[in-house]
Amino acid sequence: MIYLGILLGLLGCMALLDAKWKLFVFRHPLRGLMVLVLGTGFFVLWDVLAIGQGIFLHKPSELMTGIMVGEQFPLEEVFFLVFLCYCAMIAVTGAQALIKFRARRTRGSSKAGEGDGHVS
Amino acid sequence: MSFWFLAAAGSVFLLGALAGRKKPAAIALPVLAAMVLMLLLTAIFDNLMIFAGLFDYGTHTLSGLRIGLAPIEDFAYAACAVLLGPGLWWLFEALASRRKGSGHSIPPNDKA
Repeated sequence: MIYLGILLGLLGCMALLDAKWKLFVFRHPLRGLMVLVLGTGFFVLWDVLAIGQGIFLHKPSELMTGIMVGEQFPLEEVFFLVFLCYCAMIAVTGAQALIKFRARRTRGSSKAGEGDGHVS
Repeated sequence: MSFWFLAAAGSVFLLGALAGRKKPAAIALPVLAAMVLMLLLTAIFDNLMIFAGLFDYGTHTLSGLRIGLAPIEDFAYAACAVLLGPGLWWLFEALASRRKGSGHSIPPNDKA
């Protein structure tokens, strides 16, 4: 349960960052959710194939719920994969926003009388 | 197998960048920064999770290269997430803007 709780908490943190700066799902909800669903599907497929080859071995743990959605495939993994996709998109869109913000600020403070300095 | 998934994610990334007419200079820095961050986070948390005993690996198909406890193959997940996500995002963005200007000669000035 602890691991699932941590994952849900982290997902919540990502959503807060997303909401605050309108980065991803909060910018285009449908587009964002489609990316998350397809991205998660891609990794689930990868996991299933890897489990088929015997690469991943789930270990019963006090930290997990013990609920399995497939052989060697704990419920927590689904949430981890959603989180992985969400985190990656927040990292990319966040970096883009940060770069844009800094460019605008340096342009704004360099000289107001440059002519091209005040693009709205 | 990691290779094929990396190749697929890389292809989606390239397709998305092309369809969205993204300038390489504009996307290189944010994608690279996100990539470094995600790989770093993977190195930290994969090690923690394996140490906590959440999962283990059948080693017969792994290369055996590890960073701490984390097999090098696990880093492919983070790399793919940084490639696949933006690729899909740009593809959908391009599709949406194409649909909006479906006549592609009608100027979108019918707001309000």
